[in-house]
Amino acid sequence: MSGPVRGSGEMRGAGVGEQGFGPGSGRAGLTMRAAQFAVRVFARRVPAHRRAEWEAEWSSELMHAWSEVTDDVRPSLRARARLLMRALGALADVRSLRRLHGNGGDGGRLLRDATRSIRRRPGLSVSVVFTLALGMGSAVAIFTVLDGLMLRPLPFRDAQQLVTVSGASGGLLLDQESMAVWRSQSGVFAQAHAYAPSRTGTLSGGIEPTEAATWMVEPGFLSMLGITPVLGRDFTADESTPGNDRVVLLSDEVWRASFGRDRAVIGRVVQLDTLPYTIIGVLPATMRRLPLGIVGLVVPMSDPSPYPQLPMVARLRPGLTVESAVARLEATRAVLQRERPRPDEWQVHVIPLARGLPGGARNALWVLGGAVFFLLLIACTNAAGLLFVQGVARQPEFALRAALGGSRGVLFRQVFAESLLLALLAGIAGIGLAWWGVRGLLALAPSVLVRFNYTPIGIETRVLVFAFALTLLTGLIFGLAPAWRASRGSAARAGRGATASRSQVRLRSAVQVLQLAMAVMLLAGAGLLGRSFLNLTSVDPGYEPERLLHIELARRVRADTAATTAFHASLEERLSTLPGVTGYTRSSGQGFYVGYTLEREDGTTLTPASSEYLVMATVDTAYFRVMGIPMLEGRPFNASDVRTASEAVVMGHELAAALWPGASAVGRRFRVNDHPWVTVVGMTGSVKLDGPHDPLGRLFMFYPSARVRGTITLRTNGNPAALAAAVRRTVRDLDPAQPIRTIETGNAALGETIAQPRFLLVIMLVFAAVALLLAGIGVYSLIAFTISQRTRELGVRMALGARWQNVIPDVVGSGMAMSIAGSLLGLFGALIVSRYLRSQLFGLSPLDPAAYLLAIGLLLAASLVALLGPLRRALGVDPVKALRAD
Amino acid sequence: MRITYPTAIVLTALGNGHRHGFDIIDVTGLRAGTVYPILRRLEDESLVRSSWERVARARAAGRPPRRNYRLTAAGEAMLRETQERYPGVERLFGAAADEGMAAT
Repeated sequence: MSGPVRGSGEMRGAGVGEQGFGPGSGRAGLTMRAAQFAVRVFARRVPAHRRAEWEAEWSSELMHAWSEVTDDVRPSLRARARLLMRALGALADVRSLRRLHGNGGDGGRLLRDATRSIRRRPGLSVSVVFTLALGMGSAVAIFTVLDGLMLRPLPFRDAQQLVTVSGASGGLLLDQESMAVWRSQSGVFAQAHAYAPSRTGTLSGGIEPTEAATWMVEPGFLSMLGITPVLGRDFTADESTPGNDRVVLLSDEVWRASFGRDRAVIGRVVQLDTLPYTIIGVLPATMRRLPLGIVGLVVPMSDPSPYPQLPMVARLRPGLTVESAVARLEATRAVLQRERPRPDEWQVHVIPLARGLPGGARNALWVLGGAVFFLLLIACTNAAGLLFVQGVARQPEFALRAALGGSRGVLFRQVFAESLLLALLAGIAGIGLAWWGVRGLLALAPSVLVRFNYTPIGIETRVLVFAFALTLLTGLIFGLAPAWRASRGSAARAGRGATASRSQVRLRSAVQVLQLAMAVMLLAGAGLLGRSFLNLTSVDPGYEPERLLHIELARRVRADTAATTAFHASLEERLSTLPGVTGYTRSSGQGFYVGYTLEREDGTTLTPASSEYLVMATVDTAYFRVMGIPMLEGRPFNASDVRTASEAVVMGHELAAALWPGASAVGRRFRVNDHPWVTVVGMTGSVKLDGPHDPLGRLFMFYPSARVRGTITLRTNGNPAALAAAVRRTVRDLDPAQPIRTIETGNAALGETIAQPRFLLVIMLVFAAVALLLAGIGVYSLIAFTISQRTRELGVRMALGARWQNVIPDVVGSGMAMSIAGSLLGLFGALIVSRYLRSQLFGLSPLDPAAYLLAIGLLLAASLVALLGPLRRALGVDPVKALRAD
Repeated sequence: MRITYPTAIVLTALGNGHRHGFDIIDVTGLRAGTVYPILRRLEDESLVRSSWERVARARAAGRPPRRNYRLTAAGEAMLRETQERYPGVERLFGAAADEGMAAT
């Protein structure tokens, strides 16, 4: 090996071709040129790493031979023929080199050998690739989603220098006076701009009317974040003056959905609600969201701002940390408070610009991250286990090769190349699987997750690098062990059968126990989430969601209120008379009180804990009948309640019991804070309008109103989904410019409230099932392997008269001992880890015994099934064959 | 490695101080297609080491540098073993060398 390398090093110094000795040089005649040509042609077939050197050698030898014969005389025909014959001899040399070094040199030969070896064992190779691909694919898919939702820095320039400035701790808003003061702190902020969070605007004018989240920002806001329109331009400073402010930037999504990515949209005039706006630019696709929501349209904020309070984002001066900024502002605040005191005190809070992903969702994602990590470990241990068994089985082969002179290094490299190739194949398959998995995850993901990616989620370079690093690492880890052992194969072993040493089997068993333990942990997690989900779905929502159809219309600004009232009156009339519709009601979006006081008629008050929200909904008189909410006491609203507006309320029994424990609430009066007094006319059970999960819905009450805006709900006497098309048609007939936000059945709406737990559960179930399968395969392969190692011993025992009753406990025993050890270890691990699941569990302790018992039971059952195969083989051992086996 | 008769001849030529591929062909009378594969194999087994002639020397002779082959210590050992096994090679060598050019 060392010869050619050394040779080629010196070759470089020699520089044959540079010195004018090449084939074209003066003295070379036709014969010489033909010989050189032949060598050049043959050289193409020489392994690349030796080509230059080879060609130089042949060329110089031919030159030398030629110079010998042409020294003083004209060469004879015979001499010419001899030279040509020698040149043709180079072909045999090429062949010998190719035999020695393979087509593409060493690497090529290794690859070819590895491919051949892998193809010789298709079953094993497919299992290893499948197992690893599964582990890697899920890991990459989950990592992609985690990365997109939580880990990736916000897609703004120097995002760590961006902060939210607010007036109250935990709040987001600043009043105009504070804003003027704080934004002038040029020693702290390089830039500071206010924005108004999304309102829903309706875009129309030559396009299908659509709703889009419309943001108002001060000119300079986008450039502060480092966002430049991909088409058109940003707002100019004078576009904040009224009259100049009718310009709009489109998000990539709106540009695509409403304008088909037409580059000619710049300068086009569209209607935003009722006013004409000129499109001046398109935002990049990476600008999907701002910290407070998805971005559809951006318009300039007029100066002075129409809002008394606004959120403000600022960029800290370069080099300034959040802590030092806080310290400087605090000093200014103290001075201000002394010199320009304010009744509510000057306040300023600076926090780094955050994603704003809700804690529950973040928690769920971390749970998934942990689960997929365990799955990946299981997959890797499984692949390692499979390769271990194979490594042992191949020991005689390696020992034989070593005995025949195969060097240790060559064997090591070969086994290593095989493992690496398997890992690479798995990596490729895994990335395919991940691509598919990410799409699946996003399709399945509850909207709360999908809404929070700032940039579109997709597998990108970073994740690919992660996957490949993972692949190589896996290949390295499980490739090294068998390769190391193979390279130690001694000639003495060549003739013997394949046996594993006791320590090897012990190591393999330990790995198996770990794998079983991790499977138990995943199973227990899935069990807990499953039981929690059952609890969720078995909660009585307090109304009858079957056969309901909810219709939400988008906001549409009409000429006057009368027009809106007329539209809704005709809509009610038409929808109520659709065939199959038995009821029509409207209810408002809910409002709520936090930190309130309830005052009873007798002057006594009740102040619930600050976590006890009081939730309110405004409904029409048909509401309770259509929704199927029964009255436990009293009556639903009637027409006279509507006329007296807001004096009558219907409340849930929890609120009633809190106000008047042990007494009937109907007929009693109370008020919230200093709002008008109201009279309780009816009492319902627990109504979970926001789903069983909703922690806010415990205390609630309904107000009556004749003109409720908000959701329309129809009760039907058949399948409500079948009515959706008719509803759309009716709305369109009545007002073609009225967008429909959503139409969904009562069951679908209820299902949406439990989408996040369902999402988590589905993934955990898939993971647990895969883990169970892999653990089963692991047990199977290990026990099958130990039995194959003991074939001879079992044969002898059977021959000596042992009966299957004696053999079974032996075979089953070792397998079950492993499963039990794994179960106990897993139980222990699950008990520790399960507390991270607490926030995801509903009506269930993370220590729920049923989930753990189920996990262990499933694992033991799977282990037993996995043992059946090897057991049958053990019982079928023919003593004679067994004794001859070696 | 397996020592064939031609291998024994090439080893002997190297042992006799013939260093270049074509010289060995000339002196042994073996074909280029036989000699070179043997050289490659011997080199792969570290019985032979190759190097390049110094540029200055080659230039003085008015030709490109040639590749030198030399026996390594293992190669020398192999040569001795070969001579015991094929005692006739050394003798035959002289005769072949005379007809070398004709045989190629």
